[in-house]
Amino acid sequence: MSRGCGPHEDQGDNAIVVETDQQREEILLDDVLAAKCLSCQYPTPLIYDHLAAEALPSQRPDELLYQEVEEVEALDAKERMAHWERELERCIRCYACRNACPLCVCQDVCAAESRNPHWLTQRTGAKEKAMWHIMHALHLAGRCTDCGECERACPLDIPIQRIRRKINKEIKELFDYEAGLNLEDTPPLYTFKVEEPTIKESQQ
Amino acid sequence: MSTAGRFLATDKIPDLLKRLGTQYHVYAPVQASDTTVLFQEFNEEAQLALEREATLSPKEVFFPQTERLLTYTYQKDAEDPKKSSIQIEETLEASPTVIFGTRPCDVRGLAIFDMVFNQGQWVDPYYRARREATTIVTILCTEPENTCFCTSVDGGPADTQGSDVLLTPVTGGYFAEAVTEKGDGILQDDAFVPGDDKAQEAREARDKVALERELDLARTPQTILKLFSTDFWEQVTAKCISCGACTYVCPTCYCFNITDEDAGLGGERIRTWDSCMFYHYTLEASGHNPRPTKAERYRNRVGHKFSYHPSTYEGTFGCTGCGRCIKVCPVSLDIRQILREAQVHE
Repeated sequence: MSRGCGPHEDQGDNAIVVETDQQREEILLDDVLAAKCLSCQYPTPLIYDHLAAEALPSQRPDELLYQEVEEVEALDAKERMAHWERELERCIRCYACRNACPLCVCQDVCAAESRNPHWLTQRTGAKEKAMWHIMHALHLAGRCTDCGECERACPLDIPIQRIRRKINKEIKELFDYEAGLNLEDTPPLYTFKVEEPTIKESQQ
Repeated sequence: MSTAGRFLATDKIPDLLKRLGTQYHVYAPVQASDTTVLFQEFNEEAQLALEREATLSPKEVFFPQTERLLTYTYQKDAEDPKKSSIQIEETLEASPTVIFGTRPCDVRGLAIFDMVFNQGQWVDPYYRARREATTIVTILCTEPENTCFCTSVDGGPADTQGSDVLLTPVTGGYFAEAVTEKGDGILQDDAFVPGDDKAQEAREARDKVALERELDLARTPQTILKLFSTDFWEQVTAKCISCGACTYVCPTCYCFNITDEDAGLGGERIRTWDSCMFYHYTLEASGHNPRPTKAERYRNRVGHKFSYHPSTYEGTFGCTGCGRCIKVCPVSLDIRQILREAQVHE
């Protein structure tokens, strides 16, 4: 059983009402929703046995989806590095992002903590932390459904969803693929085609 | 130790920290991003955020996420390739430090660290060196947050334990009192002016500070032992995702791991934070894991703080009631709620 999430028109124009003994306050949903909800492309579930309530009429404007990614892409290499060093410096390697991720399947044998082989240093400088986040994002390439739980779970509010979104954007451009839309799909990096219709080289 | 209070105007703080910076490493809570406040080394661009508890306690100043314990180099014997010698160099770095703007619960966290790392038979030289080199300036809490429960674990919003200077918010700044001689040294700075006219206001502010004791934990240490082999822990941890957020933001969690990071014929031995919430924390070399599921691991976290620690250290809980674990938990597990549910079984 699934249910769409987001503003239901029948709940009164995209707002919620909070009432206490002393006062009644109307709060705009957009002011209190998680950031990830403001660019949600699929507020109505695509895969379900039974849909509770009505399908939701609107999706969020899709130009919002890659807005942050494009802002980072626009920086030159040095600024981009500085951006990520500044953000990732705060990471405490608590792995809340990993454990909240519904696509992380390695469970207790994650390479980040493996001691033998010692894949990843246990040091905690910004570059080492970046290594972990890049590894996480790449392992999710073509599987990340952009649910945003990683960023929501982060106790230090590091904007890590934009790393996943960058990869999602590449996957979309390279393979014209979005994860999680169809149960029958094989994610593009799980398979091999001699001719990838969206990659120019293969057509020459 | 002087008893006369001094006055520190809010607008004098950046200059004070700058001056202290010439003699000490000065850490203060600064806005590290839109929503996070961290203890970082103060510089002129830093935006101070003294109004509320910081996102992380300053434990990292004493117990860094990563620290180098020693470096090692192997040297091969030119005559006999089967032989090699090793040179080991201990690396201990500690320099005079001031932490400005801690909260009483943060400092109480250090008092708990002290019991483990700085007292008794085994002393951790790395921790001790940094602890002794540090002077702590604490701001008393006048507005507890809804996650605060320091009074339930024998602390309080005006607790001075472990602090060298106590600041009480008053109109236009802070009323400053030295708690120790080290603290008295800080009060000699010109930023502090005679504060007799603020003493009354400070006293009133302190009297007004109140945080009701919401939990009675007198029997909790025994209750936790009684619940040890029951399914209580599976029930209360059903939604836990086994990440380490609660332990890493905790001002009293002190567990660590030691790793040799090799590079060619040498390397360094580092110590990093570790968390009892992780599967690998108790994984033994044989492959056996005595705490294979999150229920056993969470039982250890609650048991350590509210039963084993008080039984080892004269009744002191391994928790300061700072509430950070409640704030950061991705699934909203509230340790107060678990303690309340445990009380049902008393």
